[in-house]
Amino acid sequence: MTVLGIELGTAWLRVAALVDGQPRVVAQLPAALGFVDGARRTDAALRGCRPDQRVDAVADWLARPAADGVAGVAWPIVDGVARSPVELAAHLVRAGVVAAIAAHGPVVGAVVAVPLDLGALERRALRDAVLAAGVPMVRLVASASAAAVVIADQRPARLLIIDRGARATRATVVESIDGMIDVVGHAATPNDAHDDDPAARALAAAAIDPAGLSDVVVIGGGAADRALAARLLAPYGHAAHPVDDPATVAVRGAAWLARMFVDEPAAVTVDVITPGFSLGAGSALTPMIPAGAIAPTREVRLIARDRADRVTIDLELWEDTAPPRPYGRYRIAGLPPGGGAIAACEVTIDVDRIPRIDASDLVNGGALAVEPVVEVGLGPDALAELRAVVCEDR
Amino acid sequence: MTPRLLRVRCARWDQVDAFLHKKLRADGRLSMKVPFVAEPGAPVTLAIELPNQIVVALDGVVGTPAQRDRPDAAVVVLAGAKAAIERLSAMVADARIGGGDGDLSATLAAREAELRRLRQQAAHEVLGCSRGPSLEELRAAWRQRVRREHPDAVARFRSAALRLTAEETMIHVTRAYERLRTTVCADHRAVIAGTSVRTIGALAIESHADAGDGFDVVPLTPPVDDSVEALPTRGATLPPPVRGATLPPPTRGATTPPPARGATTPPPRAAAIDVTGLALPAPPTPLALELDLPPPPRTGATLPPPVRPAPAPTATIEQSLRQARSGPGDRFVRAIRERLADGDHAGASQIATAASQVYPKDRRLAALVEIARAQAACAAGDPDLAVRAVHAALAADADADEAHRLLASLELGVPVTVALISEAYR
Repeated sequence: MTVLGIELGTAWLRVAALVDGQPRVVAQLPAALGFVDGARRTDAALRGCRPDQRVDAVADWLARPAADGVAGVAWPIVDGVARSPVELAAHLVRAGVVAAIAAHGPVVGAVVAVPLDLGALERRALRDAVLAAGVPMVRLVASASAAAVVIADQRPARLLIIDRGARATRATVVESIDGMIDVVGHAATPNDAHDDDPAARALAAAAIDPAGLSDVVVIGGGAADRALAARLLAPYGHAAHPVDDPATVAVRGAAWLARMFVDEPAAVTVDVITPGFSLGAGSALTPMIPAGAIAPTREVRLIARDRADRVTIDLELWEDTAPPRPYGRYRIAGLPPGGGAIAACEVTIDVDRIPRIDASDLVNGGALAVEPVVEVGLGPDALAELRAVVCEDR
Repeated sequence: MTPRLLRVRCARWDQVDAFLHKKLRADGRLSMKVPFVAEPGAPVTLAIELPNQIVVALDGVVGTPAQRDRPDAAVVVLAGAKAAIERLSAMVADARIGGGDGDLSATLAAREAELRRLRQQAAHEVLGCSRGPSLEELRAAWRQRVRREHPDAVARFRSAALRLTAEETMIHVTRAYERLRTTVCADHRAVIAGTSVRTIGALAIESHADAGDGFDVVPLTPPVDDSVEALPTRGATLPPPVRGATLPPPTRGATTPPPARGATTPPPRAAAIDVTGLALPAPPTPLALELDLPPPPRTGATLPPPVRPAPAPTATIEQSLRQARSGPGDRFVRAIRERLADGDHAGASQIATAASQVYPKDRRLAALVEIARAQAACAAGDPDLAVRAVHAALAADADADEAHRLLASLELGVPVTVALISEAYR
């Protein structure tokens, strides 16, 4: 029985297991997937796939918008079959999970390290994918928080973690004190934006002077470029130091955090919500969850209907990106006919920063059904169906 | 004669075990305190509440009369005790074999009780810090609370119910923290940074107040979150709000038509939500504000006529919605505070006096009566009376933060004025 840390990046899928209390990387696969006659191909077996039989950078497909996709998300066609991004990610993650099971036995749960600014659509898709890959319990944490577990190693620390990924550079200021890791500043920028310094912006957001930092590190695949890492660390000479195997530090930290599924947690991590969420009802968007709120959180809005004979209310939940991005459309059903019905609509952002919507009738206090009309996530039945397919391990 | 009910609450299985082996004798006799004068032969029912929410009830009678020096003690003789002991012992053994289940039930019950308790508490009580904490004290209290209440702290039980309870508690704790953090920012000229709060730097703070503008969506203010919505709370790196943005037409984004999966594209093996063939609803008609609200709770008192001009229809509806949700005490407190903020001490005094007669035990209303008196005294040029009224407000409600701030201003030599009181309640 073991617990896992998982990181699905643009280029690599990494899986670490907690072995004898220490994280150990057990799988490192290219983040690409192929299908030949319905059978999954990963890693070295991808060489036998034609270009139309494989998908590269699976993580990029998690919420790629498309006008003709399901719930606004593109479904790539692989080997002649349109496959959902959740299914693709599930198959890829399953390959890593199988390697972990073979080495260390059944998996109890996994912590997935994700970028702090990963959107809710991608988070929902990724969580569903890991669940469909046969992992019973899943928790999503920020990569920087996971890395901080390893770097701080249970000592009080205030860290600036610069994560150099394949596409973007993210800088995060985290504090690790008394078994709690919380994010106090964050900024991200594309790698080609040379005149932007996300580290400086993260420090400004955290209202921290560089002298107040205990550690500054560069992690991620880009840290292998020593000249680049040295340039990123140059302004922070007093606290800058190298990290062992910077490409896997986040996934190792995630495995350490996954101890929560079998024992006291190594640390608890707290994130801020960014971007926020707005609720669409009628013809306008109204801010619902402000960016910067601490997860988990909840807000409630009261919604009245315009006609007494209306028994449903349609809602849309949007992420406050620029431009706003739809998360899902829902229908509140079961309002009693007649005047006076007011729906209290609750939007809860859970610790994984994934929203869920509940509603109740304010007048009589009864719960109202909230039906997802269009949503990227899987319902329980669809999840079980996908898990059965993915865990066939064809 | 109706049997008296005696309860034995066991939150953990080791307590059940101790009860079976140290309190309850094999012959069914049990020495215990009883909340009545025990008479021999009086029927009783013993209810043993177990950690798994099961209650085992045993009938019996009072066997030995109470002694003169111990009128609250008696020996109860229970019928069927032997079978009950065997059954309970088996349950204790099962719980031990099952390992976490016993702990799970106890932990869940304890956390649900804790959540109920927290919902009754003020923000500083939720966090376990002083009413006006320093930055360091607030952060330390927040950290300590989060480590204990965070859903990660109970993940090892692998229980959805426990995780949801922890999430509820964490939401409540976070609201309390965000409320106090806002106050601390105002008091210490600090800024919010992520989950933290800092004294250095001078970052612009963006207001998220008044989120309920526009059509028919009205913020519902949770009890401990009152001041958060009314005060600037967020940090400097926030994106601009999208308030007022108009939804794109329904063919965009999430409202896209079903995927093109024709003859050349076999159907997917796992659909997210099966929307194939789904006829998406037409764009919803903007919801109008025609509410037929239930009558407000009967208060038994008639409010004086409003002093302020009649509000716009939208304001009326918003107020009505708030009334429908909040208790009458909250409703009056809001109205009084609005008038104090406007310097309308006569209106505030009228409402406060009437409301305090209806709710004589409401400490907030009692304090607001005094604050309205203080504002009236300021307007009449009697600062001594105003100071005495502020002290009286604090005596009526020691948790009145605004009165504390007024008193602090007085101690700093700032004269109490109508404007100062208005500012405190704005």
